[in-house]
Amino acid sequence: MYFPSKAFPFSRFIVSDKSMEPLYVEGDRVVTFNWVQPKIGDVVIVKNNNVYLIKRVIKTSRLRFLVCGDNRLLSSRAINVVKNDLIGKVVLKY
Amino acid sequence: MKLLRVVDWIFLPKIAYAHCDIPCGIYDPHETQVAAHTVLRMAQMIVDLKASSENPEFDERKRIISQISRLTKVKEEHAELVKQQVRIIWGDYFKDEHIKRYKDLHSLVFAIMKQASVVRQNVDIKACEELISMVQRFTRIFWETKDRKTIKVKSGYPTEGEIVLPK
Repeated sequence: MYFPSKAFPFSRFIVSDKSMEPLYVEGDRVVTFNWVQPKIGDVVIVKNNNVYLIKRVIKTSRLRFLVCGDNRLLSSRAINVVKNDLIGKVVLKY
Repeated sequence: MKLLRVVDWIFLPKIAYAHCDIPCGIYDPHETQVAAHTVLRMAQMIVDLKASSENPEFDERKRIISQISRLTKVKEEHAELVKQQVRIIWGDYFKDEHIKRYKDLHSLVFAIMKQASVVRQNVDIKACEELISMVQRFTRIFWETKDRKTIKVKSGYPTEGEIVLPK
């Protein structure tokens, strides 16, 4: 079994549903780099309630950051995430 | 890339959802009403489009076709937005206790889905008004589940219709 973790520099994910369209569509596979601090505009994977989410960073602070989906029709709500829940920044789509 | 696919085949990647579906409790059917009014307005504007003669010049035809395309696109999008917003509130907000209290809720949502398709397929003012009426009924139920009385006020939109607001 494979568990994404910050202990590893890279993780892989399969994108589900349409809230990050048009850039990431359902079924896309992405690689994250996990040893990085996200900046505004970065697409990241976060863990929220034991679910992995792919979102874009729209605001950062010292301990938290605010993320939101690109497709505002489907994902209109921003989520406040603590930095410990960040898995990594998406660096590759394959 | 192929190497990554091979790795995926051995160690399946985790699913990353794009929609959080967090039960944040922030729901409001107002956008649904605005979208339904927009559908009506687009239908009205399509109906109001007139050519200067029975056989207009090619440039005028192009202009009319372009305008109808734009109006239809917005009509389509907003009818779909009605369906989407109603589905979210119905699926994420309403609970068993609400369904017991409002026994026609499921059939109302079903009717809204069908009616929103009808207004997409046609340019029918009456059908659009019917959609608004259904959405208003949905809005009233929504606010009543929050123990809020509702009031119908003039929308102030060019459609000259009303919207339902919580008191």
